[in-house]
Amino acid sequence: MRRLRHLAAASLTAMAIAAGLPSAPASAAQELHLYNWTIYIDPAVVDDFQKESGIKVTLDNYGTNEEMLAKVQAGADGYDIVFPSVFMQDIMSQLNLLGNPGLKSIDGYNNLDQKYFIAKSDPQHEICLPYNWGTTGLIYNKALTKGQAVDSWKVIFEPPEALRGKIAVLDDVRETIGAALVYNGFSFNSTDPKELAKARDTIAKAKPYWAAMLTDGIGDKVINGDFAVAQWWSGSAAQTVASKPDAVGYVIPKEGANGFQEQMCMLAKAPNVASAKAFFSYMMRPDVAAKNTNWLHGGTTNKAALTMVNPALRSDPNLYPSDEVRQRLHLVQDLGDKIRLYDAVWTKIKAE
Amino acid sequence: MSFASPPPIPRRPLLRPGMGKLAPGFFLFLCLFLAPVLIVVVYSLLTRGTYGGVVWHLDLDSYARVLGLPNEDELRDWDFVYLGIFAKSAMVAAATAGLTLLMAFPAAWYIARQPDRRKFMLLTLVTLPFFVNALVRVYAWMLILRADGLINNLLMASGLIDQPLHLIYTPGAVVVAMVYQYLPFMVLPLFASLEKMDLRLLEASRDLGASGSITFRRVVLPLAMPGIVAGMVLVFVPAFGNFLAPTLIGGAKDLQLGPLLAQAFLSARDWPFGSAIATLLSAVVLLCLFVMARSEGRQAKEAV
Repeated sequence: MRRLRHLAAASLTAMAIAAGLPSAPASAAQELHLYNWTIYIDPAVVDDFQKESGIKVTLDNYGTNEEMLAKVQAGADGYDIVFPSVFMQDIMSQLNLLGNPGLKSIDGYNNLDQKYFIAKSDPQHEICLPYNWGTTGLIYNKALTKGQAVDSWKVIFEPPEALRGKIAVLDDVRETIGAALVYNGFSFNSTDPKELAKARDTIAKAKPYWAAMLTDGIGDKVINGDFAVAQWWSGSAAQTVASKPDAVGYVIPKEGANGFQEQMCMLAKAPNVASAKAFFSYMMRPDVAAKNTNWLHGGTTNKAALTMVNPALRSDPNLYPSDEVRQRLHLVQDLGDKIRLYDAVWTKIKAE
Repeated sequence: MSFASPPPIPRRPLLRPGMGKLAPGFFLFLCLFLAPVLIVVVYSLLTRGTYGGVVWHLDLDSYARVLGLPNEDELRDWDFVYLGIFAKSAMVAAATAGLTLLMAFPAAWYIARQPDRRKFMLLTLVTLPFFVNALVRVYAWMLILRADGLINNLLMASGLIDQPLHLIYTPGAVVVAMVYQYLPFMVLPLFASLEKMDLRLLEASRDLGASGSITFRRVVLPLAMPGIVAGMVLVFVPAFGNFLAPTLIGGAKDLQLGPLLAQAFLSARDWPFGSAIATLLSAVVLLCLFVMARSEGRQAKEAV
């Protein structure tokens, strides 16, 4: 759920759709077409793979799961591998959009740690390879929050006087309503109208204190002081923190949070199955997984890679949370038609 | 101006010689405008698919929802939230069009009174921003308006304020960014109207004793009216459904039509509902264009 510059990506995608992309020229050279979130893979990893395998890789970007689904559903032929979140893997597999790359037969499959998030439709990680996981917590400006407790969702839902007007919340229906649900002690995936109404009221009360709801460029704005506290994804936040460790910090709120995970999946209509399988087995290599994880400031599920992950990352309890904190992480689930309840609540919140 | 009533207009046959030249344009219009609009209208009448798309089953509930009608099956009470979003977007777009007019009129007037070569240069300057992608221009406004942006830094440095002003993520900021974005749409039609204006009419008005303000109201404004109406429509229509400015500068906090449409199709996966909003939006736009065409028709008649 990283959406750096997702608008730019969205407009590029719009142009790509208009231009009828992607074209799959029938050339003899081996190719691989990746369709990934914006800025969500280490370019060096892609380069190394091209050099090692001789396979030519193209990379297109999307900004949201829904955008990717809409494009694949609309018949965007030519892509081999996509990177949906776990709940989107479930949806795509219901829609028969995913192919089976036979992960179990690839060397290194046993390195996958099964304690991380698992798709209902793929309990053994046989269809999709867990790619990167993280949390949605709070990034904060240390100077502006001095003397304030930033360890709870309370700081955005019932902010102290000093922080009012300096709070940013994700412009994302599931993340924002989910955080309010968790703050009220409910499940991140509740479909109980009463609980949703309570979450709606929590947000309605807090909204006047919020400076903005957005998904883009939040790190910069926390550094420069537009925002004192903002709800954000851990990987993006960790990159910001790494660039200015004295100025900003990241925390998983004590009530719990959204734990997200993206998957690497082969499309059912993938034109380059052999190349795709080669890429899966490359990405399963511990050194490659660690390199990419370090670049993403993210989470790997590869046990063998863990020792090669940057110690600063691995030892940060807010980035690699303890098992106890992990208990309080909720994975976004697909809600089917119940998503309408969320949409109604969301529109109400945003229109008022 | 003639006082005799115009001669009756003879009935014209629908197809006339030479109309074949319209065929390529008409074909494009058919494929790229009419067909997509028809698809949207049809989709708006169907049932929502769980994961996007539509189920081919007639369902008028999307319109009922937009209009705020209750629906017991959906646990829905009377609720005018969507009409409210239409009204708010219309107000923001109208404010944008009004402000754009105020800013563009003096500029258009000045340009229209310059020698031809200078005119050309000034008009080129007016259209210059279009050489840059709209997204980049909106981002530029983010840099200008943000807490440590250009305006706040200047004001702080000059000592006028000691706390940064809250400029970005307000409805006012959205209007400012859209005024900037659409200014050329207003300047160009205004210029076209004002350039044609016969300056001797102004002299005549003054000679007959009219004051400056009366001359402006009774002579300049009516003559500039086609340009004003065209400019207002050209600004209002794109501002009404604008997506970039409300999302980036408005911080998406006050839901407007553009973002609402994106939300319906993406996060809510409700294509029929999104189509219903798009249909109503198109209806409003068509209404505006109709008003413009009517007013131009009237102007043309009066000018006979």
